[in-house]
Amino acid sequence: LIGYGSSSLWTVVKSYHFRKVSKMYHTSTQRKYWTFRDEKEISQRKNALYADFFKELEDKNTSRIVELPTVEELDQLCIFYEFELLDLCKRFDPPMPITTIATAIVYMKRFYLVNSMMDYHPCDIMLACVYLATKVDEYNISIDKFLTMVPEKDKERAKSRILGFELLVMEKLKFHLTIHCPYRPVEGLLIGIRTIIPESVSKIDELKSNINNFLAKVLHSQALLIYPPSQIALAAMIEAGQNAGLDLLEQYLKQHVMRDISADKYIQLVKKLKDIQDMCHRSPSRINLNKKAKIEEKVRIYRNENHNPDSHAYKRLRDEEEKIFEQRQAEKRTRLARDKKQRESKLLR
Amino acid sequence: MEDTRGNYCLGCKTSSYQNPKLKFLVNACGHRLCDGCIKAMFVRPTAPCPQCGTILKRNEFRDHLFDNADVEKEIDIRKKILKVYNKQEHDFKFATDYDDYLEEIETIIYNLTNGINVDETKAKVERYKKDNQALIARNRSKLNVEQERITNMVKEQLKEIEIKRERQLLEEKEELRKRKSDKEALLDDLTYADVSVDKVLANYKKTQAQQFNKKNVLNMNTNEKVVFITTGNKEEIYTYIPIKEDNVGPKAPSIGDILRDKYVKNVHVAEELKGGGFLPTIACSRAIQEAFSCLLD
Repeated sequence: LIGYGSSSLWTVVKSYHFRKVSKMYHTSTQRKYWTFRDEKEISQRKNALYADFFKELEDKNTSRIVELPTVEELDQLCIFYEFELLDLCKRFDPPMPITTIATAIVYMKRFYLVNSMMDYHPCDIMLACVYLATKVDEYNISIDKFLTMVPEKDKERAKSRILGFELLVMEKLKFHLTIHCPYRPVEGLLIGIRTIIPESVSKIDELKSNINNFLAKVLHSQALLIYPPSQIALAAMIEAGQNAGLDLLEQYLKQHVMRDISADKYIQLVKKLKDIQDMCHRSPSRINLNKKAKIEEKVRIYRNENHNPDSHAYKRLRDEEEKIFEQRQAEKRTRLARDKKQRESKLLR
Repeated sequence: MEDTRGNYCLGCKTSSYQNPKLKFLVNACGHRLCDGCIKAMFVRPTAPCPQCGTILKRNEFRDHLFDNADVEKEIDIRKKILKVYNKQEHDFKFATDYDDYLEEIETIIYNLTNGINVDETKAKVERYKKDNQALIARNRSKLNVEQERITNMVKEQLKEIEIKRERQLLEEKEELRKRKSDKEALLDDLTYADVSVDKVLANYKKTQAQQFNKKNVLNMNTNEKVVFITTGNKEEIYTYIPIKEDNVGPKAPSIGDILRDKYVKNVHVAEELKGGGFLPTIACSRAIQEAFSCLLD
């Protein structure tokens, strides 16, 4: 069943000032700004993000009780919170669509690509990402209803956190809020296969469940930051076909889809699909709670207190900022009053 | 600024809104009274006005033109004064004298309308009347002549229009008659003439066409010129250029392909969505396009 009640159809967005483009992946911000070459590039960026921070800490004191967290450990923590996110979203009633969940996870991934986990703790950011994703994907839910699903004891604190971080998350994402997920391409491929290869019709359920497993696994990997959603969908399809006994690679892809495309492009595509499948098999799993606690402890000790809304340092910073602001306002007021007096005295003279 | 809904008779307080056929008459003081009230009040030849108390005469009522009582009053006064003060521009040597004269008239009218120095003003008017009796009489006769001339002109114009209309009617009658006689002549020719039937018909047609053209030529000369409106600037005609997008992937099947190759059989659209115009072909097309977008990236 395909329900396309949500966001606009494949429409042409025409405006008199910009080029005419359609709202599809090949003209999207995802392709332009948030797609990287490979996993190496992503890890390089992350290392660069933490390099200065860790270097400073290293220089400060050489002997410490608890080790600094490594970048891999922080990654694992992020993945843990992604799983938490999944659990949270499964609790929603009415059930949250998979596109919303995927959108939230991609937001988190992107956020921690440009921000350090020492500055912003994932448990707050996770909630903000989910809330933002519900808005973007038109799964509208009020903040109060949202909070009933969240297992926080202090609802007021959670509410102020979520609403406070929402804007921050949007800003750090450069306001590129449309995420193209592989789910609709999968639907498209399924339609194609059912039409072109009649034998597949009987095996459709098996195919679908295999595909869903594949996509669930690949969600936690870096694939959505590297490959276009159509390729991920195709990789899922082909692997599911293999498991169900159909050689979709040969029958559907080569003979039908790529029949007008040159051979070397076909080979390139097949290689990419293999890479995606490989990435899926290597996809990180959830670390156990012990490990997570250890990492979180490290994070708690070394986090940048200036950004932690609970800490004294944060409050102090905010107070200082306000003081400076007040000072400037007062100065401005006295200056204006003085100018006014001067002008009036001139007139009276 | 009053609308007719608010037009009250000052005697019985019925409004023209309640009784649209209500006819108002005004008198010297400008206040409206309806027919019924006048009949009731003016059993005697004079009676006071119910609003302001001025004594009114029964035969001085006329149709009301304006809703504002002051304006009506002023109209009456103006007519009376101008009957007395009826000097024309050519009676004065200097333009300034004429202006002063006009200003005097206006002052008198204003005073009488608003009740300022009424006795004085009336005395002034009487004095003027006595002094200039001869002049007044002469001017009055002149005015009469002028008015007669205008009324004559108007009558003549009306006559001309009548004549034209009658002429047109006659012409039309004539034309009908002529056509009838032509047809009869044609029938006669067909029966009795020695020329062939085709020739007769051709002849008839030719004469009819000639007459038709003559009539049209006459009409065209009297018709107004037909004006063709053109826009001054020659803009380029808009030509539609379909958008070309590169989806960096294999070509997705078009709507036609989808229908022909029966992709759409594998798509199920919920009944509610069909009502919004979401046809299965659209959903199908979109899914397949997304599946092919950037496949070769």
